[in-house]
Amino acid sequence: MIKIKIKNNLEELNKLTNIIEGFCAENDIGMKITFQLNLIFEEIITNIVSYGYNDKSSHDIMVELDLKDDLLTCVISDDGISFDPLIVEKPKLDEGVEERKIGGLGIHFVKSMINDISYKRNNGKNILKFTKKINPEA
Amino acid sequence: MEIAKRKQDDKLIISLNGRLDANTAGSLEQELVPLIKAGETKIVLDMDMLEYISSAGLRVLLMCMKMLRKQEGTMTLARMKDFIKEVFDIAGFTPIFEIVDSVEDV
Repeated sequence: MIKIKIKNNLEELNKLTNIIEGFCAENDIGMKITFQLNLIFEEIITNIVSYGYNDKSSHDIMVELDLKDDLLTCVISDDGISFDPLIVEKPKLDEGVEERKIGGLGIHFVKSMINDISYKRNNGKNILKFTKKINPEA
Repeated sequence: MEIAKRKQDDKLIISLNGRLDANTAGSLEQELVPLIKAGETKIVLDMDMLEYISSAGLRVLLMCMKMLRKQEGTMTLARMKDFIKEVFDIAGFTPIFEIVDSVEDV
């Protein structure tokens, strides 16, 4: 299992990407799943950094990755304002270009690319946990 | 993220090299918006060297597409990698853009 601590700014995404790519390479996780994991984490972290805090202070966001056999379990926790991504409405995907809303896609990507997801608010923290099956060929 | 531009007849071909994410989407927006405002109507994005895209990148493309539509313009996406195409599929963006295999197909 690896634990990563990042600060609540978007530049930290580069650091996280490097760590995820290293983790995937070490565990023989292919390009497609590596890409999806980077996307999932970017969408979740971007949401936390952009909407999670009302103050200007620095905050820690914790990321855990745990691979057992072909199942990857990830936990992301932050001390930002309460936010449950599970209740975010799915964007209207069949609208034409004029009607399509800009935004709202990030959480939809996350939900489309993982197997299980759960959320809890505990001691002032958002704790988001998801699992993803790692297909060795992908 | 490297953004290169070239004009070929009435087409403006923009090559994207690298990652289009929350940190780089702003630079693409700054490149594209003034060009569309200046009246470009046929924009081709060459995605052969694009390694990664997230919702931040899609947001810029949708915004530009909305602007282009108002001036009867088009945006064509060429040489998309499979895993990037899948993101467009999940987003429901595939019918919104014209997607081609080669820049010459435009």
